[in-house]
Amino acid sequence: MSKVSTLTPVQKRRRRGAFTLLILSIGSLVGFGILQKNTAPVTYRFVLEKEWIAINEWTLDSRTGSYGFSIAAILFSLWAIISFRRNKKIQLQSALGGFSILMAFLCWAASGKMIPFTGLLQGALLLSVPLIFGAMAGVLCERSGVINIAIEGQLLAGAFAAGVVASLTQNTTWGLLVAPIAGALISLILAVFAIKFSIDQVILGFVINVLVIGMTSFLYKKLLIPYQNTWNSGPILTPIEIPFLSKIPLLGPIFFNQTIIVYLMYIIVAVIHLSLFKTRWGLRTRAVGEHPTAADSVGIKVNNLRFRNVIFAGLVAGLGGAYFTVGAVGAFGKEMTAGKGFIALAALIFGRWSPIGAVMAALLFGFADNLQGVLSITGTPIPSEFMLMAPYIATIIAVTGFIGRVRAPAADGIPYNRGGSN
Amino acid sequence: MSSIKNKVSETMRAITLPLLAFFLAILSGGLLIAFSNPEIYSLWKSPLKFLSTGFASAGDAYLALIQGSIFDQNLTSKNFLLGFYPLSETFVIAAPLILTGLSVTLAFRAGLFNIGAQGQFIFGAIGASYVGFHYNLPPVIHAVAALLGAMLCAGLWGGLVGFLKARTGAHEVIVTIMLNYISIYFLLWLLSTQTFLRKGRQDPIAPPVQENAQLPKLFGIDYRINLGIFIALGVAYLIHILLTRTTVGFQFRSVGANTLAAKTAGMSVPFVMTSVMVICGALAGLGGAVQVLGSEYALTAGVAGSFGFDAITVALLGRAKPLGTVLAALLFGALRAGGLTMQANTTTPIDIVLVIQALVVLFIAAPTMVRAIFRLKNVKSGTDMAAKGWNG
Amino acid sequence: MVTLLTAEYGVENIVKSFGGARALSGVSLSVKGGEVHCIAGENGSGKSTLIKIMSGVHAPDSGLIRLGDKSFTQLSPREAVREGVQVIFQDFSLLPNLTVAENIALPTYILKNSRLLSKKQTNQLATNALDLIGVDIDINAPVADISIASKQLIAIARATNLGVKMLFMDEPTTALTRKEIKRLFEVVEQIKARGVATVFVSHKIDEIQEICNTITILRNGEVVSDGMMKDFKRQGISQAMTGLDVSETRIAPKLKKSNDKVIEVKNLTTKPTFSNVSFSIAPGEILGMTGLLGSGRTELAEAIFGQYPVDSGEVIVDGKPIHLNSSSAALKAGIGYVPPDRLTQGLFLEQSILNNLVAVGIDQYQSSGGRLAKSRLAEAGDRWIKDLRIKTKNPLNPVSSLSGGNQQRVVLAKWLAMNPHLMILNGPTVGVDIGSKREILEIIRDRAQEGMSFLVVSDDIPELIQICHRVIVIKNGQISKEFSEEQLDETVLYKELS
Repeated sequence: MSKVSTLTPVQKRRRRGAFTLLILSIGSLVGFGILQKNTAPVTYRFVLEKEWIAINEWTLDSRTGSYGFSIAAILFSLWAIISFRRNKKIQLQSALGGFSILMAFLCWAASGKMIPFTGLLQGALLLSVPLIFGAMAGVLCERSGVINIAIEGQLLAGAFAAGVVASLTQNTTWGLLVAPIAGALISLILAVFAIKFSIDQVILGFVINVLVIGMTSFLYKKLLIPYQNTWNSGPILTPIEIPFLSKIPLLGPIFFNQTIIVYLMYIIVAVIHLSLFKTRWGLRTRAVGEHPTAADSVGIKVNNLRFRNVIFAGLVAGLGGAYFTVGAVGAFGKEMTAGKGFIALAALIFGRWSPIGAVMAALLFGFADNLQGVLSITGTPIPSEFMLMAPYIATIIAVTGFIGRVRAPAADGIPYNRGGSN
Repeated sequence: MSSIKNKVSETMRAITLPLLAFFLAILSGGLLIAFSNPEIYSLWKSPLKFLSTGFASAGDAYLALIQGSIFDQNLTSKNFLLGFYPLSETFVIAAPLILTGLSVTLAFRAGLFNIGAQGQFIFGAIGASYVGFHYNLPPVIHAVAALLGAMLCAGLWGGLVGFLKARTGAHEVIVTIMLNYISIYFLLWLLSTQTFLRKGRQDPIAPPVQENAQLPKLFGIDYRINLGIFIALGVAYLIHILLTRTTVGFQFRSVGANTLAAKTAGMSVPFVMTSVMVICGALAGLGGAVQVLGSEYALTAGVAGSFGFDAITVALLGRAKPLGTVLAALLFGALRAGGLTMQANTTTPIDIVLVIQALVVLFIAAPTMVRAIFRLKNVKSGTDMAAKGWNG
Repeated sequence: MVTLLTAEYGVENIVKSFGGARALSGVSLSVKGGEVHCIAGENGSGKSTLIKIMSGVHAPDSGLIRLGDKSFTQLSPREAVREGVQVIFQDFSLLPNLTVAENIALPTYILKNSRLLSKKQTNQLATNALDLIGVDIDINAPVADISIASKQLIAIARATNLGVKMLFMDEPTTALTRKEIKRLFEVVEQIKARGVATVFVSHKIDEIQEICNTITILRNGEVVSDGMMKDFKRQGISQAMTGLDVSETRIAPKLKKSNDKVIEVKNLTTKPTFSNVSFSIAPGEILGMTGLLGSGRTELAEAIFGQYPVDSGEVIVDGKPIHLNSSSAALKAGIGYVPPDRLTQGLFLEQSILNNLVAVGIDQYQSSGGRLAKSRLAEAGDRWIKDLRIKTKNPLNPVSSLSGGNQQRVVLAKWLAMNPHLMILNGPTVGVDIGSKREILEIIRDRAQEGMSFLVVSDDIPELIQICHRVIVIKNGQISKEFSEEQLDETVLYKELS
């Protein structure tokens, strides 16, 4: 009996993923290897400061590097194809393949230069922090069926509140405590209008962003500039080194010598991920986001749960906003979130509405952002603007389904009114 | 007789809500202005003084707002008519706002939410600027060519959204948000290329558009008001005709009302979605062209300002009707123009305008709330903001 | 267990109105544990309102709900679940992105106060529940990936997990094949044996007679008849349901013998939905097409109208093959299509009756420069409102203000206005009251007499027998049998269907 060619959606996705990876690897071999005109040494620096030194520097010929990594990528994609055939997961292979392509690209882009590799990763993590907070806020809302376009506003409100309160009290802790409350207040508007008045959540989120941008910019000009000493000169958090962990080569200084906000982020991501898939709350949340009527029929209070989750989201995003002020520069600046809320939304979508996926996407976007910064200093063949576009293009590709279509939770954005007229 | 009466009461019902919402927003904005004045807090002890100071600071700000948007006595020293300079400014800002607003309005009517007016505006500005500085053409023809160039660039950019939505079902909101950022970076890159670099300058500004391509000023060089406002009004009328009196418009509205039913009625939904978004793009692009050819005369990194985003509040306040959009754009144009004067003359930052804009839309979106505040019964609440999901 | 078997569940004198319209006026019924009861009734008889009251979605205006020795004036959904009332709606209320195990375990987790889930416990709950009803399904598959029949069984498993005492099943067999129905009935016997009071809501008389012990027949919100199943005859049930003497006489007009073909469908194939379907329709002929849900009948109809992709085959209209996969081509060739779900596919609910009437072929009303000819629009509107006796005061009112029957007439008129050669009607009388149904069938008859051809897609067998010249039965995407005018018989058709 011949095997029937009906594949489950998961298998189809794996197949498309594996083959896309293969095509990209070959493209990398051609683009970064064969077509590379001049070759020059590339140096990777791995040392940040005083961690145990495993490797210090690594220099290799750029064309050889591109060839080597591209071939590695091709091997990984072949491995992925084999695993797909055997109906196994291909996550590891995809990650390794993607990483190899990235390294091939780096060899090409930084030919003749030095890349501060550890610094690159550390910077990427820092740039990802607000994205991750924002994306988690998105997960909380959208998994329970409320679209959250207002992430930008929630971040900005958090940044403002944290900056101002920290400045007034000269105490970062107060800033950290108030920021989530500010985010939650913004969420309250979203929750009331979306759940109580059943208003289109996209429009609503959009308007909330305008409102927060207007409010913070207004107060910034009216109070924060003229009375800068009292209102806008807050202290900033100092990094806390975690004993032992921070001494791990390469990863230690990147992940474990950070401010409290980053550690809180680790905890929040872990808690949200575990709760969503391992607790009753998570099961309820997913149920409500998928099929509110069914959820109601088994006794879940749909709108209560949504309301609570939207407020939680505000708390998370607000705390993320604090990163901009007390977590980084101290002073608040007009529209200082600069569209990060929308990249967070992109990360949420690109990560298929799953917490871990969103974190990965946020890290990737943060990395692209930082890479762009680093390369624009060292000089590169690609205009930095195009690298800045990368997250947005990636998201469009994700939603248009050229590499496996992503779908939002089924009831995302649809208000629930019991016994209503449908 | 009774039909006229009906019509009047119908119109009254239709505009009551926006007017009340606007009133509430102005009121809230006033409170914000009053309470953000730090001096007021030292007057807690004497309530009368407290109130009057608060009232005065809000009043001053709003007075400056009106001065900056309609008529300014201080400018009349040489010539009384010069006092209307602010009104000219209002129209200058309103023209692109009408066009971008129409872009959002038309999309709404076809069931699409065009957040991408900002990006389409940028592409229009690019097209207009390029045709405007790169070619040498006779008067009139050059301006027309630049306008068409803008509509073409932006129309394609907008059409891409419709195409992707029709072909893959990708939600237009997500796509347009992403395309907006892509447009901005594209513009930044373009301004760093040789073609778009102005001779002798290093900052991101394109060569000036040639005189032949500029839109003529209407009342001499003292006023910046230009043909743009008439283009905008003319286009608004055309969109009104398109929507209410043509078979194509009928199809647009049908798709907006029920995509499935339109499909079973034999209409080609992919075609309608794509063509609607092409027109929406062209409209927003025309806005960009009017901005570049009528008042800025050069492409800069910040050419789009927040026109594309204001357009959304404009369309929402205008209840997704062309006439409403025009009125809303004039109102917001006045707020913007006046806001600049307000910021210069009083200590009130222009950003209060954003707050007012957002509040107006919030209040309109929640008719139940406004009704409760004013104890009204007979207010028409639009269905234009009924929710739909990510997957729909 | 013993108490369960003797316990009685039901309602007493339930009254419920919606905005002045009486949905239920004093309905009582009672079901014993271990009994399978049937609620039969036409659309609008109050069946679904009754279910919604029992499951806590609606509160009754007056009356009592009795569950064993407890009685309630109204229930909340949560109370209903706690008291053991479960409803399996037609969409099964399952969560597509969750696994089978999670779906079955969900309500248990919600009722119990454990905050954490363990995968082991989830799987245990699911396996137990499925074992109880003797079913074997992959519990780790996402529900979105499994068959309709399995979904139904999962819904039952979920209900039993909650200690169900009274289980409602709303039209449970609509989408099932005969084999799957058999399996379902076995499961029902299982839960019956465990003392559950099962309520079947259905209008398929054969199946009701097979599985049910007792029956209540509703019409216009009242109980018109009830008793033991064995005391009812087939004819009696349908007569009680409709209130009419349903000696459904044929009204199909006489067909003139001719070799002309309005449409010829040749080897139409889209795997795996349908394959090698060929048939033709003569002028003035009314061809019926029936099949189970999922048999491919709807897709076939849509394919002929260019809305469902076709891999291969031909559709020939008036001797010329038409361009497939394009509804505008079908429209041009003179094919009209009335979709099954008029609310989502047929109408622009918030738009005016007039706009709806002219929505198809709006280009007809185009004057120079693509402008709408408003006076011609209004004229056409008035004509159709009069012709099809659509009850409205003002054609500018939204179509949502009309009753179901009148809405369906708007959908029909919209297409008749095009004067098509072939009209495809998919479920022309679904959700329409008896009177309107009759009139709609008469409209079809009159048009056929004038030479218009029809393809009527329906699962209402009596209706097909009443109006059609010929009926084809679709099974697994293929024509399984064709019945000529003389062969049309209800029992035979039902048999062929399943």
